[in-house]
Amino acid sequence: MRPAGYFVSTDPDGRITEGETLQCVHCNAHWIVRPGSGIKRGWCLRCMGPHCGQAACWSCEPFEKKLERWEMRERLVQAARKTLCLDS
Amino acid sequence: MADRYGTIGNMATVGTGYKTALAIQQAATARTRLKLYDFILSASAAPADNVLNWRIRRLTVAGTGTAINIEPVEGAASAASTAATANSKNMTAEPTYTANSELFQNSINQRATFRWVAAPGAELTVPATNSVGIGFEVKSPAYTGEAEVSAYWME
Repeated sequence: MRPAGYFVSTDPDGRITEGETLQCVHCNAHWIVRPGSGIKRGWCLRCMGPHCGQAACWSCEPFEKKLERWEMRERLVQAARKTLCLDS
Repeated sequence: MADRYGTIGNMATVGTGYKTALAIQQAATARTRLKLYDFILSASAAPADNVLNWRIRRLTVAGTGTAINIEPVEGAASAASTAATANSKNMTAEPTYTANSELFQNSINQRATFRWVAAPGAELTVPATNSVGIGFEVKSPAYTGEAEVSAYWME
């Protein structure tokens, strides 16, 4: 699986801890990969990618689609405000 | 091509409950998505062994805080379209966060410096929607000093 992010943590002794993050295909969240952590994640067979395991992310709505939905709602609100002359 | 911008935020006194150190929000005139690709977390008080719990969440309404300066990473870039620079760090009144919208969560030692960088295409994305954004929250069970965050994004 291709990592979606990289982190580095540096302590005062100069020790460096490095690792990778994965990204949820449904909500855009990143998490640090910790094998054996016991945290339940998932894999979406439609998006063919990992999801974070939050309750909402077990049903498939690709993040890009979610973004478009949010932006569409904003455009509708703006259009309604303009139509109703609510903006000064 | 997207322009890149950066800013710094802080929480002067970390408490036992989450408080927002930095909020980055879209302007009312937002036309492009905001993509956070890099952040650095640290603490600046006298070294000691404490844990700082950080989380990043989506927000919809601005809080009250201190003004931030947003600088283009490339000096020639135009000014950022990101809004709410007047109330964006060291917040005294919290922004309104979206429930279950955690984008990242990690606990780090006070002595440590933590940096995260997104792979290209895997940035934390904010829609081109009025006033929505991303907030960096921090808390600690014992640490009461200052926590700092630097963030970089494209728009």
